[in-house]
Amino acid sequence: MDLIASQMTGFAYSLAQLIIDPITYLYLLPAVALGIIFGALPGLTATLAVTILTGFFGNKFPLEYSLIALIGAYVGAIYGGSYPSILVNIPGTAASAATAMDGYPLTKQGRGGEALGLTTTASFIGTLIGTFCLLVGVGLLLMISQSIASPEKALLALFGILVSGTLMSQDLVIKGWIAGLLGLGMAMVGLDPLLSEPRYTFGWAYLLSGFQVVPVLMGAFAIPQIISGLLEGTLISKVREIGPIIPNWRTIGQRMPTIARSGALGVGIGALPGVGEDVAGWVSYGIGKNLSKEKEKFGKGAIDGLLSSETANNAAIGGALIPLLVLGIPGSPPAAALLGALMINNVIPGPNIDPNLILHIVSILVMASAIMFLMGLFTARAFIHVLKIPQSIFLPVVLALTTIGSFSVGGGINDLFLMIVVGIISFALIEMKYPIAPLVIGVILGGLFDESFRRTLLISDGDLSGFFTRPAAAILLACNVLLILSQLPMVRRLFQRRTPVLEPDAGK
Amino acid sequence: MTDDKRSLRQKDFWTAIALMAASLGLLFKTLEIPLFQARAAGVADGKWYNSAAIVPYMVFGLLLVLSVSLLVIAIRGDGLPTRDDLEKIVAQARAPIFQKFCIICLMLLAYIFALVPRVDFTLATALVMMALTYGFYEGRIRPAILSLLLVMVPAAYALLVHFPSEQWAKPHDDDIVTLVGFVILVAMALVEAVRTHGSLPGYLRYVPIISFLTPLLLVIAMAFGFHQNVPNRTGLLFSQIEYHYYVTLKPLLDGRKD
Repeated sequence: MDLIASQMTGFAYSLAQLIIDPITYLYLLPAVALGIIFGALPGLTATLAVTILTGFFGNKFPLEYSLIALIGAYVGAIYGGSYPSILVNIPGTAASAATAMDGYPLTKQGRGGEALGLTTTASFIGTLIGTFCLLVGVGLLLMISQSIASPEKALLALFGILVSGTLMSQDLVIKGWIAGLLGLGMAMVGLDPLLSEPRYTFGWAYLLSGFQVVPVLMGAFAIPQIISGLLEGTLISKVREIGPIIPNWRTIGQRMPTIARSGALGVGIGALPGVGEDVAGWVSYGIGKNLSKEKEKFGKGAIDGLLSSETANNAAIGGALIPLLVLGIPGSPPAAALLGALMINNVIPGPNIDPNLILHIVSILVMASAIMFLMGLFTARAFIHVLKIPQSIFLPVVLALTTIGSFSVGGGINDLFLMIVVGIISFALIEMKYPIAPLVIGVILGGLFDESFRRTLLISDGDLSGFFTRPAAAILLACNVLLILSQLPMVRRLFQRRTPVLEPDAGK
Repeated sequence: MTDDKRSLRQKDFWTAIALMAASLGLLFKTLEIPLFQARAAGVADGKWYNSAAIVPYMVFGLLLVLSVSLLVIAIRGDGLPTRDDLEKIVAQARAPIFQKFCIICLMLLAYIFALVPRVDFTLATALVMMALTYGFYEGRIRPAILSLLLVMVPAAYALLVHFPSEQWAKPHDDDIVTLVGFVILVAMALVEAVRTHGSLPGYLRYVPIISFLTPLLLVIAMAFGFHQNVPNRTGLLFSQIEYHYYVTLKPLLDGRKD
């Protein structure tokens, strides 16, 4: 209880400071608006919004202000994805794909405004649930994480890559793992972290410092979107009449159990390394459908379906920041971009992170969600016009943004070469159904895995027992092994034989 | 098994071969990193666990194992290539979608490798933005090919005439060639659109302006607002902007403060 009370006091002080600082609004209002626009434009994502802003702010601005812009854009973009999902049946971001299932049928019934009002409120409440869990969860985890040493760090990094690879794969799980290994392999380039031994530099001085995070992020997330968007051709959305955008408080009050459950699910899934908002929306929708007494209404305009996915994807933001801040392991692709921003400002998240920075981030999340709520209710009609901009016009603008952003972060022209090569390879991988998030997580966590794995061996004179004699390490090792075993066809067949056959709808 | 699934497994077959080759090549390259005689601060140390090669061996070894597994899955999933598939590959290569993909990639490569390092950022970006919008707005292949040509000519000129990095920032002839390319592309897009549609489509009225103003405003915001490094500071337009910012505008603003 003392922990919660002290966290709350610190948070209240930090929030008050943020509210009375006029500069906050200078960063937050445009950032949330930009985020909503990025989310609303199909093909642009929350990750891209955070990555592009990372390139713009670099390390030339005070981190506390840069974070306001980055987190504001993150919250805005996850919410903004619901606009095209509801109004034109095209998910603005993968996180809001499940929202389209019931959002668009509501628009067809002439209730688009009501749906937008509900999702705005659900997203606001979801972000607040995630923020509360972040505030409490980080405090608790920070106390536990003091006992985390090299073996646990190595196993956690590996777990992050494996979980991300397993859950993000659309085709074969092996493809997710391959993507993770490719990322890990990319992280091996440059001087090694312990002995400064050059690896895979091919005599090129630029590679001595390894692959920079921002160009890799830009290449992996922006370039494939630009290529696929241009290939799809011009997409001009015709928005139906939607009616007034007002939150129906009575409906919200009646659906509080659904909102609370979806919020908790969103936080839990967001906290899984590298998984994030996309999976949170779908899982929450699936569970909401299974638990609902009106299953048959799902997919035809069910309010519960709409609230399940929208609450969860916004709650996942707070969840995704928990492993990022405590362990340095991003919970979602946008959180990976946020980690890139922290790293270029020489802030290394982990057990030794400044507690005031965490309180500052929590306060920004609360402010950002409040601004998002107000913008969603009062300026939504302006954002709806964004849906009419064709892809072939805004994607070249994104190319200009990513080019200058990637160049400015540090490495100059070589970073652009890296960005374009990573981008074209990522596009090819996406076309062959390889998930890209594990690759990026691999690049980010590769250095941590390499350093902590070898440090463990160095301390124990090459004895591998350090990975299973320490209780926390043993648990993590078991998690890694179980995760791999659970995906082996032999084991899966065994489980299928032992598990009684469920009704066909249950697994969806 | 559906055709889509089979096609995916065929791609997996070739990806697995490529991944196997890459992981074997990188494992071979890892041999260059001392394993049993690791160096610590320049001093040879005989401990294997101190070597920088351990994790790379693990990573690329696992990648090799997974690529072999992928190969097996691909073969079991009917992904083994047959003679008939060669005809399909040729047909796919001739499909408009593949041609468009190649055009986009060529434009992006020309932009990043040839234009951005050598040509003024505003001019290079305006040309490529205009080319991408005009080339892909209507989904027809002809505008895409014409746009590609007008990107490739200045890119090839910049690359061939000013290949070494010492020359990237100095002369402005490639800037002028790019500017001419942009003007020709805009004029051609307007004429072509009027000829095809009988009147000027709405998007073409503002796309040339967006293409020019977006990089111009971005580069000004980055350089003077965000205080970040920007590409090609000595470019035709940016050098003038920077000169007038420091020589004309800044003293004027400073004088007003005093």
